[in-house]
Amino acid sequence: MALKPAPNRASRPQAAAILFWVAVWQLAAFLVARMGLGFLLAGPWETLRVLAGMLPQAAFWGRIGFSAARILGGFALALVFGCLLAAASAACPPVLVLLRPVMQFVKATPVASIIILALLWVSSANLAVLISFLMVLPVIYAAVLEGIRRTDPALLEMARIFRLPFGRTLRAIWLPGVWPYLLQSCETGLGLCWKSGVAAEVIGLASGSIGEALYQAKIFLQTGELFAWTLVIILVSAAFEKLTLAVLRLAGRALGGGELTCTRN
Amino acid sequence: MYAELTGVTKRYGGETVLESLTRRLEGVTALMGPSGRGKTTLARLLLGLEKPDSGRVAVTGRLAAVFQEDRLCPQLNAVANVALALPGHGEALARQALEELGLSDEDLNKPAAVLSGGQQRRVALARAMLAPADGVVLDEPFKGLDEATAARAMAWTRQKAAGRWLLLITHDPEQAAFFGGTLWQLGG
Repeated sequence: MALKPAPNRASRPQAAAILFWVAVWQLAAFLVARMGLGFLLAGPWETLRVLAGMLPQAAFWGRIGFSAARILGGFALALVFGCLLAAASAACPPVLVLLRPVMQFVKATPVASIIILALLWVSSANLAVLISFLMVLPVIYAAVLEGIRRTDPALLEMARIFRLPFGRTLRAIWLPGVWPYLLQSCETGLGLCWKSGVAAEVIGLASGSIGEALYQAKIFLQTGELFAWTLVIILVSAAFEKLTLAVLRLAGRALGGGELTCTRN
Repeated sequence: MYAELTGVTKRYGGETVLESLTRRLEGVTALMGPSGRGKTTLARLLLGLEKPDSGRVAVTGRLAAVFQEDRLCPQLNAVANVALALPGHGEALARQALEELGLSDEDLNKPAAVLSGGQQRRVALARAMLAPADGVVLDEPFKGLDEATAARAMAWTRQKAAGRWLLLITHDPEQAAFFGGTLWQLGG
């Protein structure tokens, strides 16, 4: 049974804090402009004005579609392979031993190194798929593995004695055990895949991508556009995070025959 | 259908919990004995959850059990927990059994996690007794039930026990007597 979220008493002070920092940003932009260096820092008003100008353009939405398809494609692949590899590792200890250094390597290597290495193997257009996949894979893998390890052994014994079919055991015991860990890792992974995916597009200069637009804005010192694209990335990333988590929660209910996350008796 | 123990010995560390047990279980057997004398260990051996250090445990057919803990899936409701162990879609059968055991219509649809201890115990009992098993191990199955509910659950269990072997682990001589069959005193 899912717990209802507690009323967010911190939301008003939080909104006030955001407004405060937006005001600081506007003030800083004003002072920088007064020094004749306005190209270094666009203010929030300027950012919104540029964004409003971009919204009706088909190319703007095309770039969002291009990047979202690749970055979320990488995320989806990481989700599938992370779950499968974690299940294989839990079932077969040699697989765990074999995968551990690979996951450690991917986690420890700087994302820029991986991007530059990957540019040797894949086209810049598809680089974001590979990079978001590689960045998210260890996160999903580790979380699902932890969920499997923490699945209630008493329930697994019960399933064994009653000879529950695999599908029922999966839905009634494994999925509820793993689900909270999977949701948490998806939340982390969705933020990570956008950051790393756009970084890959900037370095790889993928034609038609958000990353390319960011790079061009920087080259031509169009700070308004640079900030506008950054805002777009934040908003799109947050929107997809909410959407994906909502879909996963719905899927969880459909698969588990009820809420999957629940206090144990 | 039967279960048979031949010269079974089980040790934990240096301590011998069961020693050279030989017994054939058929029909109803009520197992009694002081705490710590290996009753639950014996149940785990019969259920195949542990191996004896020496001797042999032979069990024919499928098994079902009520464990010391209820072991219900907390997110599933009472009916779904019982139906989980039944072949096909056993919701109607599960619902009927739970009603016979005194659960209200409202309780049947609540997740197991929010049911009371006594309600959870009856769900676990219904799951074990309805499962298509040739042998059933019940480890203190009426624990936590008030007198009237326990009496109702015992009568229901005895009726469902027909045609298979049943091991009832209990501290209550009245329960053992109610089920009839063989009384097995362990370590006392």
